Amino acid sequence: MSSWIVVLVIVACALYAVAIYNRLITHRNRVRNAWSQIDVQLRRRHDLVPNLVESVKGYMAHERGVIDAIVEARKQAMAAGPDVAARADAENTLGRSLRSLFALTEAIPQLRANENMLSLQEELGSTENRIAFARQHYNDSVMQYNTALESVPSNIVAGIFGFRSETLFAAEETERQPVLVKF
Amino acid sequence: MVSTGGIAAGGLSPAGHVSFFDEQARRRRGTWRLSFACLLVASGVGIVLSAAVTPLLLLIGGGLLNLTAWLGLAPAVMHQAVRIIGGWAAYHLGNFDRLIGSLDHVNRLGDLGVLLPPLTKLSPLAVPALIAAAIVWLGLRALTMRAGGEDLIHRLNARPANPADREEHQLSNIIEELAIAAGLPSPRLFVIDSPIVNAAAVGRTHKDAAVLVTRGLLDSLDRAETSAVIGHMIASIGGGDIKVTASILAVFQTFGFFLTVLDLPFRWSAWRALGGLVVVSATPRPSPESIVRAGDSIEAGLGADTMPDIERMFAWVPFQWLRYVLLAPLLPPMLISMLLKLVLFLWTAFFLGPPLSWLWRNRRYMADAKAVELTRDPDALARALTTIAGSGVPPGGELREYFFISAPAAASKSALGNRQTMSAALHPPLARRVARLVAFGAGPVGRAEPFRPFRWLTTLPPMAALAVAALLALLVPLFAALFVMIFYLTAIAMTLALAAGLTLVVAIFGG
Repeated sequence: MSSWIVVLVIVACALYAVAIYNRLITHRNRVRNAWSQIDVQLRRRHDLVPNLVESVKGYMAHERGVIDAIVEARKQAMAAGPDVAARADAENTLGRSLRSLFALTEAIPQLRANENMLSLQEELGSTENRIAFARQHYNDSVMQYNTALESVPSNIVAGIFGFRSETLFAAEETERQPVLVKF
Repeated sequence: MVSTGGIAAGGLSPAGHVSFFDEQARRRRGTWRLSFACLLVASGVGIVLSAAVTPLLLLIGGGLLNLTAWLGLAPAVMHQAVRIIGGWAAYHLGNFDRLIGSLDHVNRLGDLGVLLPPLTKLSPLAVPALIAAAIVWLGLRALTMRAGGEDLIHRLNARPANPADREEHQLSNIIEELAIAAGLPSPRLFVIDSPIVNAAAVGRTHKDAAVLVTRGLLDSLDRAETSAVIGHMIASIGGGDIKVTASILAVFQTFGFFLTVLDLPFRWSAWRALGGLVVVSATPRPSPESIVRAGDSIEAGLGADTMPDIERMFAWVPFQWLRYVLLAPLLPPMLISMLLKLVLFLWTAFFLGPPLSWLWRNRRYMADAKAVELTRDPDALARALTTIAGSGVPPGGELREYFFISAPAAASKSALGNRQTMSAALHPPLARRVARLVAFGAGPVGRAEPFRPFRWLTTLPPMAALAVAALLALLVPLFAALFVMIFYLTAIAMTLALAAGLTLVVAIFGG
């Protein structure tokens, strides 16, 4: 009789461990999926930059420095490796230089009325939002995953199977302000 | 328009404020509680219906068994099974007699306990009907899910968004942004050419959902407000609201289904409704419109009038007196059917309607909280809701107003809206929704005031206030009397149905 109880308890524990393991896998896959979504949106921004540079170059001959900074930041961002922190750093630099460019275009009336420029601004603004939302989703997913990793009893299962915590995609302090893109 | 990225992540919330994560957890628990309450009440209605449905099932089952025996398939076994059915019915008819007999001993309220033992003995009678109801409910729910509310797209003449139009292009950008925020696939987008400001979400699953936005919304809300509305839609899709709608509708359709079956002898449209349902269920890929039509005509069984059909059915009979003679045997079952309809109407109006509408309101609050989680912009949602509440539902959407983010109570013409006469609207009052958003950190919004429904009482002069209070106090015994009346009606309807049904079963299949 008592041996049956022992067997039952062991089976119940094993089933519970399996459930926890599956939950951790779900969380981790969500984090990976969220990361790939950030990646897609960052690439979208990379693709938009040459187009933008082409449209404003003619009007901003006296601001070569800003344009060069953007081109350089894009190159850096595209070269950044898979490390989350380094990638976030490079992308934040690109975002910052894009914002300073848009601040400058405000002063040029021809650009403010340009149909092509307006749609570029919508696309870039939307891309900025997508990056922000993708990052938000990624960070929320990482938070849930890390919480699961650290709390009892899932931390035991996580320890046995070698789940490692993920890094948050940090936003800069300046990025917490609304993006200054008018359209 | 100024774009506001949903960047301000988290941040410290001031004291007294509610986190939208906590709110969602609370609403999720509320969904479970309210669903359970709805299930309890619906089972109660199922027990009431079982008084008529169980004898019907026994008749159908016995008939099928006899047919199988007649076809030559194991006739001995089949006849034995029929005898068991007859015996079971006779046994319960005996129990039923004992219940009626013990009614004589009930003289005071305290004597009601005497009825308990015979009632317990009768209770197995409810089981076949409840099982049948569960099966029918699951089937109708699956059918409604298959339609997924997509008939709304045609009903409203919605068209796909035009990417050349700047506002509509921006809208498709917004939808993709928020789908990313929720980690969901991007839903399809439709635009309704109407000046009314509103938006709806439909779809079978979150993988092929659709968002419908009126042109008026695009023209009168800015980018942040539109994002907030779309956030609510995405939250509703991701939260599985379509499943909740289907479950609620299927409850009414299940009741309607059984009443339609009971109406078969006296109503042509009952045959039509049932036939439509069978056709739709048998079609491999039915259109959303045909599913909705079949579901609606089945649901119409809840309140269908039988008299006109009866008269048409006997129109060929030459003499008036002959018609009466032919009609006479139909009168008792008609009376039972009408009584059951009345009882069912009272139950849905007073007991089932309120928890169902609370459930739906709960889902709206939950989607609001999720929308704020996605956009981190409670102000924009509060502004958008205030604008939408003053606008209404685009023409053609009145019957499906629960798919919209907000709808005035007056626009509610849907079956769901009609059934719950006790609580007016399926959408929470605007002031309350805004109050929740303020708790998430939204600033004060134009017209919205703190929600105090009985505030006008305090502004009355003392004598008038006293009169109002006295009237309110009078309502309590009135409601008590009403509930006792509903209880009596239910008991009468069940008794009649059970007595007639069981007698019929015993008469046909032998005791």
